[in-house]
Amino acid sequence: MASLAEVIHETRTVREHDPTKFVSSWTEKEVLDGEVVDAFVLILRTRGCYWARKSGCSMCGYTNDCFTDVSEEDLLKQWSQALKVYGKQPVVKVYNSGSFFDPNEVPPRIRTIILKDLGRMCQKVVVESLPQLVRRPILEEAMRLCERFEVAIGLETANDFVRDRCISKDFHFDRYLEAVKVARRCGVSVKTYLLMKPPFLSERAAMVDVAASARAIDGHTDTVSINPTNVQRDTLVDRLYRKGEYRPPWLWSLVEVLKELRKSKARVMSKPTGGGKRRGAHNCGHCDWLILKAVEEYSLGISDWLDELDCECREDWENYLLVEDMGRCSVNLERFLS
Amino acid sequence: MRVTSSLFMLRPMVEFVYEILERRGMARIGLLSISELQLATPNVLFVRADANTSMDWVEAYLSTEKIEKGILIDDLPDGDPKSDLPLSKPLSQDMLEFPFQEGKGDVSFLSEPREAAKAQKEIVALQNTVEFLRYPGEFVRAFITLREVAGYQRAIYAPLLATPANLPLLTYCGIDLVDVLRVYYDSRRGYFHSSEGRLPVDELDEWPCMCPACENQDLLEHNLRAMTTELRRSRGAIRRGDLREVVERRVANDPWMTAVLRELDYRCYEWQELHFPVVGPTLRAYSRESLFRPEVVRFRRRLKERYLKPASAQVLLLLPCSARKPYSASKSHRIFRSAIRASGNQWAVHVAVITSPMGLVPLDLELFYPVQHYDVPVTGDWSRDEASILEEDIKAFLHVNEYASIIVHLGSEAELVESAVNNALVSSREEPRSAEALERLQVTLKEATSSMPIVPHWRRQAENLRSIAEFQFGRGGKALVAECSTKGRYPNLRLFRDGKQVAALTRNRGMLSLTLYGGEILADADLHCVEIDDFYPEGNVFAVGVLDAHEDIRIGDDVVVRHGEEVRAVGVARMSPREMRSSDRGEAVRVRHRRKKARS
Repeated sequence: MASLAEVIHETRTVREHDPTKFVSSWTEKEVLDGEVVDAFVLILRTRGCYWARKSGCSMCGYTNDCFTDVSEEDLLKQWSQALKVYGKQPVVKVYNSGSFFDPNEVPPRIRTIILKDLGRMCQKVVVESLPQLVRRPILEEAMRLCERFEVAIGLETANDFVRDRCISKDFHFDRYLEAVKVARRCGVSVKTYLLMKPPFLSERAAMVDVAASARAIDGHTDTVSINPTNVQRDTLVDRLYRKGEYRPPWLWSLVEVLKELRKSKARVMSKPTGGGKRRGAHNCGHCDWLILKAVEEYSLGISDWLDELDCECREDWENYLLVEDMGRCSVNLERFLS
Repeated sequence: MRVTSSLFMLRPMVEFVYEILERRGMARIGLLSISELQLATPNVLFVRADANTSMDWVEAYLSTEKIEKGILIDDLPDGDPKSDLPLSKPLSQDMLEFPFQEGKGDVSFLSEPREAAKAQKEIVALQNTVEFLRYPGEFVRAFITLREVAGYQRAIYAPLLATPANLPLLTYCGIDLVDVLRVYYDSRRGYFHSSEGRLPVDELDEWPCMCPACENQDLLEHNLRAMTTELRRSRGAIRRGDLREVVERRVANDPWMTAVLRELDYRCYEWQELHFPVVGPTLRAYSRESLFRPEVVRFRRRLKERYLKPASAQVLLLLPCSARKPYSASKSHRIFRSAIRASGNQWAVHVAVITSPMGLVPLDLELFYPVQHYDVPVTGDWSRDEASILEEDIKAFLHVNEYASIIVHLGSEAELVESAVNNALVSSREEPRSAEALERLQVTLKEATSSMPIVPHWRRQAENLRSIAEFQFGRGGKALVAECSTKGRYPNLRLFRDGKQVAALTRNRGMLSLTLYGGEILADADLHCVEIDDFYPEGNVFAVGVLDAHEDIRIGDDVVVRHGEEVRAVGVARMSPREMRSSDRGEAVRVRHRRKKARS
């Protein structure tokens, strides 16, 4: 018998990348003070998340972008190239497929350089980190250098059993709450990622899990971002998916969860990666674009027409939920009962 | 008094009782009592959500709430991130350590079959069973392991697999409970189900059913009714003993079902054979699969393992089979017999019948199941499988049993047989009952036997009885018939030693039935014994009293019930030896004769 961490570790492969080039960058919409503005997103290439190097999480393929040996000089090269692409967007998100606060991924010297530049360039900075790396001195430095600072934490679920047994992320809910407390005390805002539908759960159990998690963190976090699982290469989820043992969530499930969380104090949003595609959250293929549009407008606070969405496949989804849940399944019924 | 009552209080309340009433192979009919619900198994669990209130014929529901006729399963824990959510393990993650989650409901859902060892509930089910639809071999192995680990006193439930078409096969595999979920899922997607499989409704040119639901073309209700129809058919087939025939007919509709049956027949013979009775109704061997059914394969294997020809029979005569059984009672064999008698040394001739699917059957074994009980289309056409099995069996038989000469007196199958036999004397290749063929037979026999000493009837009969005893009980079985005299007329004989009856051979049972004296002889040979606790059976012996049972006992076998050295009863096995040993309910041995406790 193998543990989940061991099973996940086996799925990993190492790829070679150019350490002087960042992974990617793009512009997306973000909400700032109730206004929809542009945000610049930058993915730096670093040595990667320490946890992912050890074994990692069942759904996470960001480790594919990592390179084992990225020097400080390499990182500075990446940063100067990023500055060339930057187009004065008021919000900048600097991600690194791991924790921005991990000194092994982004050395303190480089971190300070980046934050100093950002403080001069934009109105708000967002970074990602595991909660155990969210420490007061780092946050205080960030607040000194930047006007507004936000840390995004991948909590995935408030349920420790699910995080341990389905995701394998090495912290517990308590640790998250501590990180949030520290952030708030420093005036740093918090965005929390919740994973909708880790492997081994039925669709309905996944909905229950994500809704319960969002309620459990409401009042602690400023923003809840619901991330429906998308199938990333060389992950456990990918292995399962290819055997028909995993179906990314239905968009209907996401819509239902968003509706259920309308009354939250936190801003609840979702930007489904790969939405409408086979490897991302999807419905029948006909209604997906419309639903994604509704979710986007809802997430940006532009309008709420989630209740008006409908399609013939909604009944298929209901059918799927009942049969899968009563039949104790987590595999892709569409593949086995075609 | 106080002690006993407090002990009684310590025992958990028995809410569940599961009694197995009938067995046919791995399939069983049982009665499952859960609180107030009395549920016959096999059964189909319905889903309340779709319950049309007029469907009062539904026997049980799968439900997350306590309802009438409900089998309770756990609902998802709502809204509390501290409670564990139910997980289910995909097949490919076999090696992954998974938490065992015992619920509050009536069913233990297991992430793998071996977890049944930890399960508390009387109903055990596997998660993600729907995956087995891609892996028929895994399906068979998983449910065998589940039965081995869960034991015979629990109901096995296979969620999300059943359709009207495969329900008989699922019950054949030993599954006690199924549900309507798959049919429910298909109904919503517009599939019409029947015992033949499913069809998309929009491709139907005529509505192919006349059931009450179909008057309104209510697809869901039709499909649910079809499930219940198949359930009742399956239960009937288990009672009648022809479930295998139903399954053989059904598997032809679907590759998955065919694969499942092949997996069982080709790779799980031992498991199947353990459960298949040595008695039964007519075995209809009309399909290709019947060549590999466990009763047939068992006969052929036992012929290799347990059988030696009568010592004084020096001439082997191969004859065709007859429609009427036993062969010796048929018109054609009476005609052959008179030719044999006319040869002048009839007891030096050993007759063996060439037949499908058994291959070669020595006439002295003609009473055994399924020789006396099979039916097969006799067109004279032999498939390649049948031919190669026959050829192999004849060669193996002649390798062990040597004859002075071999005479082939057959119809179209003569050609097949000749290629397997060296130096055969052929008296018929077609029309074996024609006057010329019979004439030739008589002449050939006379030539073959004339130089041999005349074999007396009593000697051949003793040898034949030895064959029967060995075939029935194994090689040591000859002890039972040693130095026996007989009364009666074959096929109904009583066997005596020292003036005391040891057994009776009857045409009806097709084998030897023991007396207590015979039981003692068999106990000395240590054959077919069921060890019981120290009690004198007052009626039948129940599994609760069984300490041990010989592994080669099969349902329908004559067995000796003993405690230590003392034979307490003889009777007929009603369950497999493994079930006798592991269960504490149900009749293990139907007692024929019993020893009364000596007055002290």
